[in-house]
Amino acid sequence: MIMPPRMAELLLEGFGADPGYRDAMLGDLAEEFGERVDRDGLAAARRWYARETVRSVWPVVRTWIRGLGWRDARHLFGLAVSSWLLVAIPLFVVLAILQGLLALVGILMADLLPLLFLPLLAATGVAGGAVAGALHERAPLAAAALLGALFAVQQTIGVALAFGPDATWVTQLIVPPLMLACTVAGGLLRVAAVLRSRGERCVSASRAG
Amino acid sequence: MTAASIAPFEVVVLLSIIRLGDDAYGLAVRRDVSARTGHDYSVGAIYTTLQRLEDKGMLNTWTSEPLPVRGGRARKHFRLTSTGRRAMREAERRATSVWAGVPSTLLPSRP
Repeated sequence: MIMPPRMAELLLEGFGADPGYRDAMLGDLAEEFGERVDRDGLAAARRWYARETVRSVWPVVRTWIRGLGWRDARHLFGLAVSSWLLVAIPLFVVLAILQGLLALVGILMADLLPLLFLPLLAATGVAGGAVAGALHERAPLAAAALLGALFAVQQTIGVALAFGPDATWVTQLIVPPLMLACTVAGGLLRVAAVLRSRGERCVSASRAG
Repeated sequence: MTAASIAPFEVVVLLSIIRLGDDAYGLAVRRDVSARTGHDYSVGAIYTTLQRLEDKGMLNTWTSEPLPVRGGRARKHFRLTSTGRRAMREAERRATSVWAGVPSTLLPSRP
């Protein structure tokens, strides 16, 4: 049997779908994927699988949001803020040191912004997403997405305060979505690592058995 | 549990489970519901409804053996509980009551 892509597993695990229902959903998707491979070919089946995964994740996310109590929401927000502190403070320190060094040689930070600032921010986003995911194992991707939203808001405000009317289109239009995307990517990496280690545990348990 | 707590889509899903009997698992329910309503429901939409109905005590579940066609995963089968059956009888009674007294001549004719 041709196995379907792992995207659905990553997303359903990442948004905290109930394990019993998650496996049943993945089984249904795999069963229909196999039928579609035989009927329509691999490429069409993969396209169907991607579309069906996106359509299926939204009801799971909506149910998860509806089921969030005030205490859960506060806990999640606290985790996102903690993750932000863990990665944003080192970033600010690095940026301050860089700014000082560049000033010594007479280069303005703003001139190097796209080259220097964007990769640093992207790396911070990925690291932050992975940290948020690790802190909230029940729904790692949800925690990473919330942190990404926090990052995006922080960057929007930060850019407005730091550059005012001199802010370039790069800082205004690219930075907030970049932070969101990179943080979610960090969360996905965390989910992939969890699934990998779980698979390895299963393999070693079956070998031991 | 009263029929008032069942959403219309939940009634459609429960009817499908009654029709399918022992073959009522997610994919079969999704195909049956999609064919009868003319709307292509996602796997996620069907399973969140099934999970909600189980949480309400209207369904219980059993799992098959892992199957190679499902990548080694089991099928989760659904069956109505006595609460579910009571709720469906109440839903039927209400639907009949709502439709009662409407002469067929007032209904739009078929094209």
